[in-house]
Amino acid sequence: MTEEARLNKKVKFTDSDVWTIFNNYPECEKIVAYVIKKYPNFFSKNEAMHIAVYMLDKGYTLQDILSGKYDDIIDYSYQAEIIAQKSILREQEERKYVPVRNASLKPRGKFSFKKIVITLAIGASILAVVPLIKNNDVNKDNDISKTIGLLIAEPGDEDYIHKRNIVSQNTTALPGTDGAFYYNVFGIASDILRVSNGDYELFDLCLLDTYYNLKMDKLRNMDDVYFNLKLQASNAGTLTVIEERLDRNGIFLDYLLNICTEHGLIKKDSSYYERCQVAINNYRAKRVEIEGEAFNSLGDYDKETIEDLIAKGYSLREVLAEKYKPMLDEWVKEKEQTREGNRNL
Amino acid sequence: MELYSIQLEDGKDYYIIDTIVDGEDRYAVFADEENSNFLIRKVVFHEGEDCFTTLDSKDEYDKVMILFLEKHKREMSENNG
Repeated sequence: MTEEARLNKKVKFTDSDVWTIFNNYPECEKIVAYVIKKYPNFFSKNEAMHIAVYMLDKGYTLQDILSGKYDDIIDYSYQAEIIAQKSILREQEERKYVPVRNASLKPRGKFSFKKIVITLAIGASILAVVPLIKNNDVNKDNDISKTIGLLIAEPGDEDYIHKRNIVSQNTTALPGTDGAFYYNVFGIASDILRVSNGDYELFDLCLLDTYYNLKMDKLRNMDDVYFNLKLQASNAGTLTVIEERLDRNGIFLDYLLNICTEHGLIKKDSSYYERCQVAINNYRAKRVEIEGEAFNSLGDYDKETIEDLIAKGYSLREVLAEKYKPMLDEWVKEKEQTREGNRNL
Repeated sequence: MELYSIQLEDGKDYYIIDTIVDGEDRYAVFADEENSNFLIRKVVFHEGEDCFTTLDSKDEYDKVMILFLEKHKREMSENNG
């Protein structure tokens, strides 16, 4: 993979992501209008949407954005677009050449190189010119940015993990052990089918959440979940649909469940399988780029596949998490009430 | 401090504030005296000598920006931090 391609994997929001988020957040429309109004006849709607999503994801509130508190973000974007326009040969413009020998050393007053870098970098990245550097600077302090990541259980966030997801509802801590868990994979598969109830986008989300929230031996446990899903779907007469869904999506789970299997990684080479798992988990932990011995030991095809699918997995998961949050909240609530009722019997 | 300065095709003087190399391709980042105008040019061999000229496409511009940002990750992360 080239350096450029590697860096491109840092993309957070593609045009498609931005449109999807835009359609789900009424706030975006107001910010887009605000951005366009600030620099009339300059930004396209698509560019203004990138700026809006960037600000929302940074955790800025609608009120603050519209009050002008973060206008510097718009200014950076404006400047970056101007730089791009000045740097690229325009249509029907005659190419001009300036000999390098004309350059000469001249004294120059003090200037902030860092400021220039920031101007170029922030503006360019917002406009998706350069997909960059995300996540480690996100300040999730408003409802929208929190919601974007609501169902993403971070490693170590035990409280969250145990309150929200399907896995936690089917997990029992084994007594007498130091943090070992028993997973009722039949229950997990059953709940995935019941919660998604024929909604295959939600089915995707449940699968992704299941993967993310299984604590140990994720890939092997997912094999069990997958097996149980097929078993139960078969009994319910929906096996073909479920299998098609699992096979068709280019999501994170496909890598784990299908690509690994297709390439014989699991059966052929358990060590390779483990290294895939380590590489994926490293990626999750850093959330920016894959690093480490395990990843580097994989073949080029698998490296690219992991990167592509993880990126898609994150993106899809965030969008779906927002869309289905109320439904999942309701399900968790019902489940807890049932448990409580059973205890009281 | 001394920097290389040059008059570009728009008739204005710019300082070369950074250079980017990508294999055989060479690029320069320019800023004017007031730091209010920036632009990027590439170096090509034209009529027997190296010359600055505009980039061919948005893709090329994006590539240069990626390299520029990668080179200056530290400044960016300090800003974010």
